[in-house]
Amino acid sequence: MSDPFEILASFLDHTDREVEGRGLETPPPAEVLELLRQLARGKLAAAQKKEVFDQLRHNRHWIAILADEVKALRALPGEKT
Amino acid sequence: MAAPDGELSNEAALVLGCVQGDSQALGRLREKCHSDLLHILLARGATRTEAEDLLADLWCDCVPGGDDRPSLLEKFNGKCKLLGWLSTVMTRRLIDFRRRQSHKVTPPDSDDGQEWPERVAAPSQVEGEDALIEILRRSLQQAFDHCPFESLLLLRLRYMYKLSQRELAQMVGWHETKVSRLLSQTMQEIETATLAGINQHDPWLSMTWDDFLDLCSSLETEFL
Repeated sequence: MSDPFEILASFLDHTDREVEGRGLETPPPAEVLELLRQLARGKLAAAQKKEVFDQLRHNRHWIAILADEVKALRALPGEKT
Repeated sequence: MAAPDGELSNEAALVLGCVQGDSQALGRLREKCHSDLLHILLARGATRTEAEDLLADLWCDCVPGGDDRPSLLEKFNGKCKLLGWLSTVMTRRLIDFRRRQSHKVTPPDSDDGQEWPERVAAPSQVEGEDALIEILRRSLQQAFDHCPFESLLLLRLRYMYKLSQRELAQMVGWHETKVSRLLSQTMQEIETATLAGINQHDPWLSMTWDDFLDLCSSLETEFL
């Protein structure tokens, strides 16, 4: 059985008319990508975190990039999950 | 909600028999599900008469009536439990029935020469078909909108992208227990706000959190 949040988020994602134009998703600009990498490493100050969260709020497909950045750290020596 | 493979194959055989018009299969299906569906409808706010009428229609619709009226069960895609799918169908029909009832109005005494049927705008087809999805989506979206984005982000990263609580804690610079507490608390807030939203918009519709999750899960299989 899926986790309750997974059920809810999948349901909303599939019924959200605002995200039907998924083909128009754009990659983050280089400076935002760098901020996502820093966030993944836990190296952002509170003000920068707030800025990145604002970016993610308006560009939800970038959350996958953040998740990938965190997962990429698993392969690095000295990183434990 | 996923069902065990053996159960699905038994249900698939039963559904196939029903779709082909096998009266024994139709009888077994009714025997297997009628009582559960009756209880589900009553629990969701139907009167006994409404529940029995809706179920009578359901069993009629399961019987194939030729090319122009195939069995309702042809729409069952087998990706969830049959009872879950039928209960979703019945909840949809209950909501549509209640909506139609609320649209019914008594013709007024009038001498303006206008025919009565031209006065009343029928509810749109889309509105009727999507009523259940719309109720669930609206209440859930409102609940999400009330949550801080940071909390939703952490939930999404935890459960959609399978990051560990430790990874989340390192990312935001918190202790793991703070992350854990925030995730649990936010889920509780979503549950409370969602059910309150349903109660606010459709107070007759009675639903537990497990019902809500089952419906979302069952409807989700329609999108796959």
